[in-house]
Amino acid sequence: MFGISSKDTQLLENIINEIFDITTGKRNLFRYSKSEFSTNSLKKIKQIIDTRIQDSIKQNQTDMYAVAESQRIILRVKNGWYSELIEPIPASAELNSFKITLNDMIKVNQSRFDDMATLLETYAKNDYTSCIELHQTDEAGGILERLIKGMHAMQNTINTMLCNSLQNGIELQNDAGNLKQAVEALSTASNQQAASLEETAGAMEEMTSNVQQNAQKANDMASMAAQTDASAKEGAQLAQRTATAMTEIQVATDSINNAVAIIENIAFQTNILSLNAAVEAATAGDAGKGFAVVAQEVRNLANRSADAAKEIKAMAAQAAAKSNEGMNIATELTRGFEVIAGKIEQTTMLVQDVSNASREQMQGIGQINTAVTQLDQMTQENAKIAAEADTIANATIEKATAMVEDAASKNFIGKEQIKGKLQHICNTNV
Amino acid sequence: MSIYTSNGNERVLSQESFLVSETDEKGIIIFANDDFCQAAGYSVDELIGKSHNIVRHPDMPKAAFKDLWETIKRGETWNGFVKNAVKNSSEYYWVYATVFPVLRNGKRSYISCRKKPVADEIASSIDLYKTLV
Ligand SMILES: Cc1cc2nc3c(=O)[nH]c(=O)nc-3n(C[C@H](O)[C@H](O)[C@H](O)COP(=O)(O)O)c2cc1C
Repeated sequence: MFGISSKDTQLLENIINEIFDITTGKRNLFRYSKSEFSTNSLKKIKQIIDTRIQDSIKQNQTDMYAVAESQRIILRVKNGWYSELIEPIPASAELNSFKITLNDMIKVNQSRFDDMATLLETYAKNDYTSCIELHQTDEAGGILERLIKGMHAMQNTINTMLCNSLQNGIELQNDAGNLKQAVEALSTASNQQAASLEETAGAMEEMTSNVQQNAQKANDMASMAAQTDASAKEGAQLAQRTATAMTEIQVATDSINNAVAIIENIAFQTNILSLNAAVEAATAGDAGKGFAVVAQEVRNLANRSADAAKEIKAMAAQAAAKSNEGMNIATELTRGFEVIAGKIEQTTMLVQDVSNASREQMQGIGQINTAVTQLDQMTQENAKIAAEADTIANATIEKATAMVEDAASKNFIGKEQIKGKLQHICNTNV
Repeated sequence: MSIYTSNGNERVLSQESFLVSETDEKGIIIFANDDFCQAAGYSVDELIGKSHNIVRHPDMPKAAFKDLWETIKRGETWNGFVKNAVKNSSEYYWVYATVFPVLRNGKRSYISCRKKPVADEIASSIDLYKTLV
């Protein structure tokens, strides 16, 4: 071939294959640096080949290094570090263009992430008034679009939340203030109630002792009535016995009258006998003189007997009259005692009524006392609850104030309107 | 997809494999790519912070690494064929390594890029390394 030896042809063939293997990355080392062509014209070509193959290997190395560095940098990108770019310049134009594109992507993404980070830092400083916006070139449905839309949704949510929080806080502050007032009113009412209950308890004590005294007096009256009843009964008995005695006196008087009548009769006959004796004596003369004196004496005695009998009769009549009178009095007494007994019975019944009424009163008082005690406990409970409610109201006010202060310390869309609106209504200092 | 096929104890790298690692000034690994991890049988966490001799194979002569270090310390690029050991096994793989000295923000480091060597390249390396200590 062109006057080239077959050995040189073989070497040339090997060298051509080797060149392509190396440049396409199938081999690493050029094995024919030291081989020589015997044909003179080929010796010069060999020099060119040697130089160019070394250049080619160098270019390969440059590209390799650039790719290795790219891998290192991309790993850092993968790990979230966007601040290092690919520095080495590859020999291959395509690789270089690729590297520039990669670097551009890293820079753009870094700037987009930086925007987001800055925004989130602003949010972290409690300023929710701004957001990041889509770029014109952002592809619909892409991750960035989702991210930015998500940020907007989050911003809206936070703003709404803060608006609600501020509004609720102000309203809560107001409500808690009202609650506190109501609780204070309740507390005052409870204290007043406690005072009146104390008075009531005092009055009840007084009433209790009154009723107890009443009951005692009724008891006294009952025993007095019983004593009186006994006395009246005794009186009635005595009156009865008096009446019996009077009757006996009358019977005795009648017996006396009968005896007197006998005596009068005897006196009369004695008088007649003495008269007869005097007449006989006179007849007898002096002999009868002494006898006449005796007869006269007998006559005198008979007359005196008759007189005495008259006196006794009169006295008996008087006694009869007195006993009659006594009878009447005894009868009246008996009637009087009966009236008294009736009255005592009525009194006893009245006293019983009073006693019953006192017992019922005592029961009523007992119930009232229980009720008052319960009311007192309830009032104390109320006062305690009022105190607790006051603590809660205070805590609520504190929390509401903290809530309002917290919300008001943040910057968000709609804050000024709420502040203005509510300040106007509630006159709250936000 | 695996970057090698096994042939006995040898892991034969695929044509597309590209193993990269980086060490600091003292040869402590500070970066390794997926191909490197796969071939050597380590996870990246196991490699970072370790000396690069973690993959050293006993068949490799000291002289090779002496040359490597002398070259890169001079600020020159080193290349050569290296037999490496796989983690916890008698498996190994051959690479053609190119080691670059790097100066980044005043800090020295070294990046090694590895490609698959062809059979005759490995064979002549075996012969060469037999003559070295
Ligand atoms: C960037 C870089 C990559 C390295 N890659 C390897 C490697 O793949 N395999 C290896 O055995 N040594 C590699 N070394 C060399 C090791 O640092 C070490 O010198 C070698 O494993 C010998 O270990 P020794 O120094 O503990 O004897 C690399 C060194 C550098 C700087």
